[in-house]
Amino acid sequence: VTKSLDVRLKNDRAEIARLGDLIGTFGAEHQLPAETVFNLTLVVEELVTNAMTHGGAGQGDDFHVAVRISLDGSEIRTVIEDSGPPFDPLAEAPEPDLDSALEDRPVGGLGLHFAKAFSDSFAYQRAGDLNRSTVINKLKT
Amino acid sequence: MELQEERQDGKLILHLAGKIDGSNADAFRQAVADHIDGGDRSIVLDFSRLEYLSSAGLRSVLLLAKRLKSEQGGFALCCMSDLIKGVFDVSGFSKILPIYRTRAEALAAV
Repeated sequence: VTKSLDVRLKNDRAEIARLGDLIGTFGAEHQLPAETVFNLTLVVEELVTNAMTHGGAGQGDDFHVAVRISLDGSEIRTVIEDSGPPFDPLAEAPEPDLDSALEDRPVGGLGLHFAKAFSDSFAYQRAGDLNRSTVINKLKT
Repeated sequence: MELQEERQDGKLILHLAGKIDGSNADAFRQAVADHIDGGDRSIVLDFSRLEYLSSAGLRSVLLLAKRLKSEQGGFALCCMSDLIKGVFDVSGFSKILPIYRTRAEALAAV
């Protein structure tokens, strides 16, 4: 049995809260472990934010992001597609600084690091006019 | 996200509850910054009722820590769930921010 959640997001950071609530409801409906819901929410937020930052700036309603989350047995597959110009987060995002002192620590650059660290696999492809990221989260038991 | 204030011996304890994400991280940072603007220099963030924090929220915490350090203030975090602590660990922030298990330890540090 496959169950899925489909959400189309407007080009607005306020949508992040709605998305998080929908994932929370989805997790409750399917009795997913709290850690799985937490990790999934985090990964999806970071990738959607990344897409809005790189593709959505100044684009208004011309830009959109679609999220599809599917529960299939012991894993969750998430596909995130955005209409921005080609951007491969795996190739183009710099490695984060995890070591410098407080005064020198950059305040950004962690989003993609989180997407990788809190998922079990992460792939990118350019699909026609869309950027498509596919993420797998295995259920924590 | 909710932010509840408590004062003890001139120190400000802010209880975070709910979620801090990309939609409200700036409002959270501004709410704490308003207290610094108002003269508070000893601040504890109590995470015990916080359910969720993304990199946007971490960014706000880091900015507040940098500001308080530059102004010789005291800043400490406490009472995180394992999930929230994991976010601080994976970001490397656990090494540069004063995170305590209990509120008493955090209060003693600021």
